[in-house]
Amino acid sequence: MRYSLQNYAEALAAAIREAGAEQKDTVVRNFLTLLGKSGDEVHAEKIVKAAERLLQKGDGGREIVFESARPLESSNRDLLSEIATAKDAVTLRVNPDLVAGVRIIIDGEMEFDGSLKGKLDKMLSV
Amino acid sequence: MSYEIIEKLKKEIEGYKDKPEWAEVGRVIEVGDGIIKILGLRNAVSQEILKITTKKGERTALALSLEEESIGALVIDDFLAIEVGDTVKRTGEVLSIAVGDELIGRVIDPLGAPQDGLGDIFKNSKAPQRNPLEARAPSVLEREGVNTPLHTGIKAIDAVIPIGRGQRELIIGDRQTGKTAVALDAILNQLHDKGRRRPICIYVAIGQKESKIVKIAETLKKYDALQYTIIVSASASSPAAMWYLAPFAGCAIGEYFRDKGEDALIVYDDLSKHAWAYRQISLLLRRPPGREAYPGDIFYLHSRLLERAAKLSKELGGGSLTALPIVETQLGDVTAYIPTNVISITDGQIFLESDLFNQGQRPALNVGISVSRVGSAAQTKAMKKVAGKLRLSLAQFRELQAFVQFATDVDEGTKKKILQGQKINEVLRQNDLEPVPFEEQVCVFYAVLNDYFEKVSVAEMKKTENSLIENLEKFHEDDVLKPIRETGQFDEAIEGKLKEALAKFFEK
Repeated sequence: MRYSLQNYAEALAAAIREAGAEQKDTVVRNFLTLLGKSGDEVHAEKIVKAAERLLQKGDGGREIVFESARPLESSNRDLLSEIATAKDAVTLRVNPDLVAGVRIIIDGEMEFDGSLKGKLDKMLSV
Repeated sequence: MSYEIIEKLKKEIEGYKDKPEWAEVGRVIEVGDGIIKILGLRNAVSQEILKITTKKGERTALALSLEEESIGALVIDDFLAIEVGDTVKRTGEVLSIAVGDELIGRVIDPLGAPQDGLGDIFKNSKAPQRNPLEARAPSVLEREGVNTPLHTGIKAIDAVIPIGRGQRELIIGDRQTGKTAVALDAILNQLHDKGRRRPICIYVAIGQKESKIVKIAETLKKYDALQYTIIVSASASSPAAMWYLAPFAGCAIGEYFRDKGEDALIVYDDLSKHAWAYRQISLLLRRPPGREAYPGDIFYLHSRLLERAAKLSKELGGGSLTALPIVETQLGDVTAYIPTNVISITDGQIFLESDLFNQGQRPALNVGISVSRVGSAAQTKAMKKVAGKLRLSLAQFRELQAFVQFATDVDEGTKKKILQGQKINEVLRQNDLEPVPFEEQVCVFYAVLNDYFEKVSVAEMKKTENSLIENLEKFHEDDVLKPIRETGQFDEAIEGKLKEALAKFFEK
């Protein structure tokens, strides 16, 4: 990449924040032109996702990934509603490797592992 | 038996306390050649151990590069199992190694795992002490001057380039000049140096061939030296991470004995390969390369390692850690980057030259340019008495060597000095794996310097010397050798007894 992912994302997020409603087409066009000039179109999706995260963070929102071994039941949804707010971007994922229980990852930096797999791994490593 | 196993399992499960907590995590974004790049873990510290959860189980890495957006970590385990996207967790611990007396006689890797097939090292249920691989060197006030000799059993070294306990003495030379042989003789001689506390010896093999390490282990076993030696092995086939960690692991083990008030000797064979491994790791971590592509902190890599070898003050137990680092030169070039770095760190150097080796002078020590900055402070009084005159004779001989080929054209005094120099050189020749106890060295040097070998030709010197030593061991153990060994002195009474013994021997 000609510029780092972080640089692209910060520039895009700053442009979106400063732009008014009538300028959104201009922002999109300029962004795609820049990617075309620097040959980084293939990374567009990554850059947009990263910019989205930055904008969410700026608004006080978090990216929450909620993994469960089976599709969420009502008891787990209650747990989710305790953790997530309206500003947060929540992704629900079913991961059978967890065996049972849930795993919550916030902003890719903090993890709460309440899964049975985690407990077994901890027990067997002692 | 199976019932006992089930009971044990039940106990473990009952005792297991599950308390899931929020943990800081990161994600692998790049992996290759033993290095991984991690996104996240903003609070990770340098040298912290990180655990990576892979499909094939947990792997361990060491955080080395803390950058603005990511962390560069060195994988200590098998890095092939790690994939992009794997989760990484902090442990809050720095890398450490289990230490204890149980390590003596064993061959281990830099992480403490046994390599000799003799089973677990620490068999007791009690957790062993763990020493960090990176530790602070003793401060000025915690040290004492080097005042006790570490006899290598090599005559040229013990007389002219003496090493003391707590000193760092570099062994430097081209390949196949006998550097490892000098270090090995130093280890073997500790069995014969009975006048002093025997040091625990640690041999750190960095990037050596497996066959060489096996040969060394067998040699140590054969000569009964393995009973006080530990081998830390990072062989040529192990990854750069192991080469990088091996000297620090050996040093951590040496510090355990030093801090207990005991003496330890550590051999780093060799630091040139250690520098290569650090260069490889630094280049993969994209650190800017400097001279000869080494990273900017290559000096600090070795200085912080070698500074941990010290003689501690009596208040801290009086223990010592003596270091014998080995550096390989190319075509005798001691002005290259790594050799000059290590020379400036150590308290002296032993130069081994290919020319001398090829001429049959073994050990191939260049006594003229080798130096020990500790000097006679690390010699017994007995050795000091003969060493001064020996050094002078050798220096005069070196000056006169150009005249050797014209020996018939010089005056009698010069001829005599040249002849004596040649005889001293013959006495300084020594086979490897045959260390000579210092008390025997004192007697032989005394005999040479006081013209007892006058009627012996240069060609017969070796044979006569061996016979003399045999004679002293057989007939003068109690009146000559034992007093020198036990007191370290060479007073008039002992000198008198030695004179009698020499007169009787050379009369025959």
